[in-house]
Amino acid sequence: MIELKNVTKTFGGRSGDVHAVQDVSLTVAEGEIFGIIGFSGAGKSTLVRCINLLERPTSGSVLIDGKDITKLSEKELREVRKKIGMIFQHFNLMRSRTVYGNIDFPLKKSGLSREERDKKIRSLLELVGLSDKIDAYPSQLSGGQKQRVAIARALANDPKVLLCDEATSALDPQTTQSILKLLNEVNRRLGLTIIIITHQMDVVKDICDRVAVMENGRVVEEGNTIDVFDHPREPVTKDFIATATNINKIYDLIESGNPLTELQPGGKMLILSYSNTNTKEAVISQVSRKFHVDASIIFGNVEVLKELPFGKLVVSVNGAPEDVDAAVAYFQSVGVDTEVIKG
Amino acid sequence: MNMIYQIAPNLESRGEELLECTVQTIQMVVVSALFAFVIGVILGVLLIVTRKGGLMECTPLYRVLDKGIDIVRSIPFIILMFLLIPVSRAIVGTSLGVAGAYVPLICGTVPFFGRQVETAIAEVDSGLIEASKAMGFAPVEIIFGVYLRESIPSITRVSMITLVNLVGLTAMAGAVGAGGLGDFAIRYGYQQYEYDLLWITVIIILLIVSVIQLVGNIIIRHTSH
Repeated sequence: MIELKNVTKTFGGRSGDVHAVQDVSLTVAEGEIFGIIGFSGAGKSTLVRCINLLERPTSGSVLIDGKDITKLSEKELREVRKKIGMIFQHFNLMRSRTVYGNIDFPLKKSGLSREERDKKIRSLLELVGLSDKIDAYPSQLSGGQKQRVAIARALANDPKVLLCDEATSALDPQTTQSILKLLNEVNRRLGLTIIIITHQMDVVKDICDRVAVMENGRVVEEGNTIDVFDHPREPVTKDFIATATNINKIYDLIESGNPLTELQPGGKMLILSYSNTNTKEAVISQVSRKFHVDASIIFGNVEVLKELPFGKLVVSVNGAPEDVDAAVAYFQSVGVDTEVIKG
Repeated sequence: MNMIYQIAPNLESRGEELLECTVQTIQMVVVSALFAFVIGVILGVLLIVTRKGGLMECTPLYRVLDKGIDIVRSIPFIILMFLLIPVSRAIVGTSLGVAGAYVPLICGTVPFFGRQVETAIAEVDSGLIEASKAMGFAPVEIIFGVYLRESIPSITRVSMITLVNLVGLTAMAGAVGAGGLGDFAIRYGYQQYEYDLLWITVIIILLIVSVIQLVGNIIIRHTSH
């Protein structure tokens, strides 16, 4: 339903042109939650602004339901924008209006009667769980509450798409969770297509069906969230996953000679990558029993990703060298990705 | 009343004229302020929306306004009054009295006020403008619904400052034939050594300024959240 074709955005600057977005083509299907992740300066904020033409692409086309919106007049574009909600990192609420007034603002263009608008505002506030703050001013709300108001405002004109520009980056982890939960709920209940720009891998991990990774203005990797997590191809993707799982700590521990990483002669240290195919089996205890080795978990990070278990474990296996090798082979044979990092 | 006459003996004979001059000053301030407010707000908004990256970017217009304001602002008011004599005759029909003071007072106030409004509106978070554009609002709707609405407290604040300045300018205009309290103070207080009247005009002006500030503060208190 949203299709970006060879979108490029170049900003002319005194110190030369800045290529914020370079030749990006993406398709976002109706009803999906699509994540765009990248470090700051990767061009993701510019890219998301190209979807509602807050930034006009230097070249390329933006198709919404098959219609190229870069060809529309300003007036037609404003109509299209009403059906694309947007929320921001810093909420962008009006200080001079109450919660009610902020949500009413976009409704002024809806042509609804006062009563219909009133009903709508109340039901939106119920949806985001802020009915008791109806007459509060933004300055009296917490960050999470402000973002809820912003979501209600973005949903006021019954959009089909919701763009989220770093919507959780200014929030603490708990509030982030609650906002993501709300976005998930909105996605399910209203069938809304959601595009999320973020630099937090946790956000992608928690709610995105698909993800695109951006670096230097280009999309370098794209796919189902689980596949991308499971088999990242690009270094930048691996970096992001590492920040989300912390598994790279083991290398620092090995380097500093931490006692945790000491092995007996013939022992090996492994990273076991769990994907959804094998996590149910008790592979570690099986290995201990079958091959007479001591397998101990040093640390790990296994969690639920889009409702499927996913993660990595660092395990040391000690015993007779041939038993250890057999154990490693066994892990591989049951489909656990096994990487020997020491020994 | 007798007690006041004891403190200010000259008031007894000049009282009626003082009242008349006070009315003249208020008249000059109110009429000029109304015009200056409207023109200044329009100017301030234009400066914001036509500048580079603005809602209705139009660099040539911005440059003209920007430089025009700087030029008019740099002319001392007392000189501006004389420069504007032909303009005032053309528009109002006279360059004398209260009516003759309007054009110079407005021209002396608008550039300063326009700049102040520009600064006030510039405080509106650009993210809000972006959000409004994303909601499908047209530039004019954003000007009224967001820029002006969000900056009511700061526009009120700069209006108070300008209004107090304007009171000062009317006194100066009075000195060159516009009448009002400035004229009164100079004619009787200064030239005829009736110092009691000089002090009384100061007190009246002080009262006018206090009222302006009181009203302004009330508006700010009720519109800031």
